[in-house]
Amino acid sequence: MPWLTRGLRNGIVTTHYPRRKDGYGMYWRAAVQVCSSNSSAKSDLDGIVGVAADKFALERLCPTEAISVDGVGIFLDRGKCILCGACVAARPDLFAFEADIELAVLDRRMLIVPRSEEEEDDLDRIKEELRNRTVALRRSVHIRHVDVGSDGSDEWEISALTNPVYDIARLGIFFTASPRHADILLVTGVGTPGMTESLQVTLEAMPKPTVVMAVGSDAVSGGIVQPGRGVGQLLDVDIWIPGSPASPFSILHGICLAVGMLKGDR
Amino acid sequence: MIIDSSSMHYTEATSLASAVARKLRRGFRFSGLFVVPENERLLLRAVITCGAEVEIISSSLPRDATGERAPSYPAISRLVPSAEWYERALYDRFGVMPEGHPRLISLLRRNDEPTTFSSIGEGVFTIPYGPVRSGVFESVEYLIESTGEDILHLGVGLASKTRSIEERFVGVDVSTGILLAERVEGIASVAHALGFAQAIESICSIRIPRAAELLRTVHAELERVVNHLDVIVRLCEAAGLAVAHARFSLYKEQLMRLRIDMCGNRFGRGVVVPGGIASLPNRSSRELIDCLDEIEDALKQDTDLLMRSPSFIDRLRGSGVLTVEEAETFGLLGPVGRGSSLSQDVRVDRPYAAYAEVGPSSPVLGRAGDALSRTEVRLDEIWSSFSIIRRAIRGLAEVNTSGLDSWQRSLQLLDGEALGWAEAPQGELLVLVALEGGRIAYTRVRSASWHNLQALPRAFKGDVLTDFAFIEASFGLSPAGAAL
Repeated sequence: MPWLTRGLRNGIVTTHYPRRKDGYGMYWRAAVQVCSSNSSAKSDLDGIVGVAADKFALERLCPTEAISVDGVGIFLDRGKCILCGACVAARPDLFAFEADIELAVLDRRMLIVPRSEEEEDDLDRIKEELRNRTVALRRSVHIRHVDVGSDGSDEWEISALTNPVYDIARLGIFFTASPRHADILLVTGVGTPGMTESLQVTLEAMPKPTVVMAVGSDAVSGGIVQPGRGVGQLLDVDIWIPGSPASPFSILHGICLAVGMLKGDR
Repeated sequence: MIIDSSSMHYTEATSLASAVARKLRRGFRFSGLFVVPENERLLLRAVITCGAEVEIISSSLPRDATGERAPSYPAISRLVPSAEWYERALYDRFGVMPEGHPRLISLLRRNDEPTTFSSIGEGVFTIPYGPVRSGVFESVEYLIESTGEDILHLGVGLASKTRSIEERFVGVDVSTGILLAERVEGIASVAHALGFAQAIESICSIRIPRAAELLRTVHAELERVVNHLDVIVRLCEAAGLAVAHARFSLYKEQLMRLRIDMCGNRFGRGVVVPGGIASLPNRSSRELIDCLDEIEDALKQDTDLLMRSPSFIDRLRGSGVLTVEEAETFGLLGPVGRGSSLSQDVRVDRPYAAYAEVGPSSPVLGRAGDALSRTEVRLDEIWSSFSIIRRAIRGLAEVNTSGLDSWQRSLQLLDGEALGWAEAPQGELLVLVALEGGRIAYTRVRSASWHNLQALPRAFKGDVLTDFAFIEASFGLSPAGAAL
């Protein structure tokens, strides 16, 4: 009984996301952005990449090889980025942290910033396809999580979704113990050989249609722990969420993206 | 601690077991066993500790003349039970054969043959629990042997989680090394970064600036509070206390956000760098202390209520008992050891960062050795951590923090090998690092999660299936740190 009144003590602490934009404040290092827009990057680039050694120097800034430089510009793959900030520290003129929380994407290529316009066209098609698949789920979504070799932090961030701040139950989203009840499969970790079979079995046990989400840079690309791996090699991934680990807001964004709960989706 | 011929004892591989056992009789505890490469051979390094003392006993493994057979040595676990898992893991990873090992079953690799069970009898069946478990958990496999209610025996398998992360350290530079260290056990990133950085700093024999010492302490203690809260949250969830679960997970979230305000990351990653810290906190000391005071006040009130809730206490009292003798035999670490009144805490025994000055004066101890005792130790440590953080932040106000060199020293990388340590929220952490030509030759990590996990099956004495979640949560382990 005393807990009942205790629960009312702080008023409402729950975020309004996705109805209203929310975030972690200005200090949050959510992702790295390439500073200059593509056109100006090109003119910058004539100066920077004039010598091949500079292309090399820029690419070598990154311990996970997320930075690539070609004739068009400088690109950063957020799926590989582990937010260590080495590039931001060395070249604050070219790279900067941003605090945006909506980082989930529907196509692996979209994690490479800056994005090209053709990909945006592709996106509409992918979105349409996913919407047709998940249209029946919208008001009641059940999630099953499987760890295939994470460092443990991803699980914390996923569990955080049930705390009063994110409170995903308010959106009709629940975690479920059995894959038989699950609509969405959240996968964390680099994809260890020991989990390959269990992951397949879990996915097969889920009723169709299913949505698969790769959560965190480890799952997207193997991160720094096992570069070149990731769950994309084990099954077809629908939603990619970068971050080391992916933040609860980003994971929530990914789930909303999957079931069409975002503004403009309806 | 630098590892060289003066700080290390050498012995023949045939007498390693007896050398370790002799030390243990004199009050030392077995802390770790590593295999490291030396030229074409393999070396065994056994680490034993006793309060402030750390000793390393090293043996060169004899090579079979034909090179066909794996190197072997008489198993330490014949005499030292706590070495059992270490030798199983080293056999899995390096093929090093411990002769006479009591139970050499694969731990890190999946068994093709069915596991042999300890208890056989009418009506005994095995419940496989994991690797995909009911809820958001890391993958780990438990085999619970039961007659329906009582847990007779628990088997643990880590094959699903093995990422071979130690191999990734080979040949990388120090700045990449610390990024990997932070990901060995993601929920204790700061502690792992500290252990790694301190090993590098010993090799390069530099002392970090005072501001860095204080801030490392602040981040490490924040990590401890958050980890301990996570255990409480999981216990509340297991007990079905919905409001308590919501309240404690709210405090955890608030502290994660405080960490964002300090360093931009929810896990304190990127803060510790070899030579000091990466940057000063984004917020002023005043703001930090105000925020902490507020959280601590609210947390204390809810904790009082929680510890008076019979539906919570009844599930913990008497569950998962580890006796003092068992704690001593296994040399249990962190809150698990302290809950069984085993007095050990690296912050007290071998202080690092600013702990000598602002740290706890003695370890928090529990008596009963049950899940309740471990929980009480964690709660007391939370209060102690809050005051450590406050002392460190106040100390920071008196330190000059203008200019990069007041919180970071540049490193002149030397060749050598060193052992770093830290008291992670889970317990004592050991990191062995060797540098060669400015790159990492090898790194070995021994987390408390690993060490304590081997005692988990011992904690089930007449406990029933529904106690499982409480006992497991009260250990507060991370499979990532155990499987590596």
